[in-house]
Amino acid sequence: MIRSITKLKSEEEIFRLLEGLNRIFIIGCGTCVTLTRTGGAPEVAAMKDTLLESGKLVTGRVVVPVACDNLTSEILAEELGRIEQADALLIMTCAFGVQTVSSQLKRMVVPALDTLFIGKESGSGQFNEICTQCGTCVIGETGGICPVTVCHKGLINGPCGGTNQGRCEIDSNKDCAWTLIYNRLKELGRLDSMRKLQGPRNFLGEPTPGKYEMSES
Amino acid sequence: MKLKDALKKNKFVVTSEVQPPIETEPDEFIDRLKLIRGRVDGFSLTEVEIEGVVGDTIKTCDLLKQHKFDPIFQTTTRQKNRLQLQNDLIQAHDAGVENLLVFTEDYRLTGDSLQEMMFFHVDAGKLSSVLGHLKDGHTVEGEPLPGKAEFILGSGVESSWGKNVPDLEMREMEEMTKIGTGYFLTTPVFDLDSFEKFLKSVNTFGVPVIAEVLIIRNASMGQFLNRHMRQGMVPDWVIKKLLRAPEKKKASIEIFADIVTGLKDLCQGVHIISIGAEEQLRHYMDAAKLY
Repeated sequence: MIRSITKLKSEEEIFRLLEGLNRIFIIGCGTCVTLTRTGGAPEVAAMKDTLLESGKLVTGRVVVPVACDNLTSEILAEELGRIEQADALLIMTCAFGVQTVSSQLKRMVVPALDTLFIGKESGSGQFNEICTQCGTCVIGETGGICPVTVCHKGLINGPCGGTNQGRCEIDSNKDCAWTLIYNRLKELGRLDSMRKLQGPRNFLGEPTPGKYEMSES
Repeated sequence: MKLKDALKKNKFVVTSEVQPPIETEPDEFIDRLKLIRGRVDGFSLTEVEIEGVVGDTIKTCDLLKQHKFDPIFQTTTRQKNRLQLQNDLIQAHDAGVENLLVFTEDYRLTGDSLQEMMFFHVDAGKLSSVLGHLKDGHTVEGEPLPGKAEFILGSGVESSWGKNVPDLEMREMEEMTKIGTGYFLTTPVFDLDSFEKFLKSVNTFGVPVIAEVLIIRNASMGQFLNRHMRQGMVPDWVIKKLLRAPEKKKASIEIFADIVTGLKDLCQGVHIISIGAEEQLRHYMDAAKLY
């Protein structure tokens, strides 16, 4: 399962964004942010207390099942009265949820979280970024490990000189992607792939903003 | 002797890294280099230092040429995309620079603008996607250039890769040989035994190997490099010797001289990183008998 990985913004930033906005409605989400404990029911309740302590008025709060789903507006319709009493919606979901709510309700929204990456759950409470949706997948030649994402420098002819006992120079808690690739290819008896020089990377596999429309046929 | 000639004649090559001046007067900068005139075959001029902004590298290469020093344009794939790299290489070539040294470069951990984007658009030291085109006389996009931009290329090799991925240094060096590298430049060498093992384990394809030697002036400098650049980069014995020595400068010179003397039997030259101590360089070179 992939999850949108988030972290709570600092109180300082949240209150800066809420400056002059006194009546607040809080929205959380029952999916990714509940799992990462950044925007589930307990975190929404704690945010309510924080806002009340600082003198704000909380007109209401709700944890929608899946904030990025197009049905969110129907769930929020039940809360419309209290939403309309608010100066702003403080949204404790990833940016997909914030933008879904924003486009559906046309209300002032304030994100309470920063969206970090789309993560693959690799263990209980552990998430890793393994794909950045670059549109030019190279993992058929790298033993199924993405160097564009897992190598901090995104080198497709790695490793760089910063590999240090299998760890990355930017953070010794992170693996060196090219050591992982080397070891995987060795296991597979495909070290010949390491010797192939990849041509220059196409940095515009899917120019942002990505857009996909299913054809009629 | 020019770097190109020194390499051709199998002389024990000596090059040194210097920072293009930004606050120093050009005359003062050149005067410092004159102290070791005739003893260094090429000065590599860095482009971006960990502190952030430095002087104009290509302009400084030109200044060195005017004073009959052989400049090495040192650039990195970290700060530039392919187009900027191409522009700079053409400009350097037009300025008469014959030598080029390219690194992927370390991820920036200290200095200015740490939140700024780093490119790494061209992969580790190979540059084949840019240099190959310029050597043939056209741009990356295939447009013809008025002339061919060729350089004596120095390529960085990581002498400690063997610890993790034994075949990779060989592959990397093979690729660099294919694009016509003039010499391999290693990461800083302190331990001569492990460096000798590294050289034996890799095929250098008949390409000269120049060992980088750092001048560590005191223990805190070594500790800083270990903390901010790479853990274990400066070995404990160097730091301990400098900590215990009553005369730090003497100890620093001894460490340098011992390493360089040992390297004379192992490889084809040294690249000295003096980290802002160009004025002191002659004392270090005297002790290592680099005349």
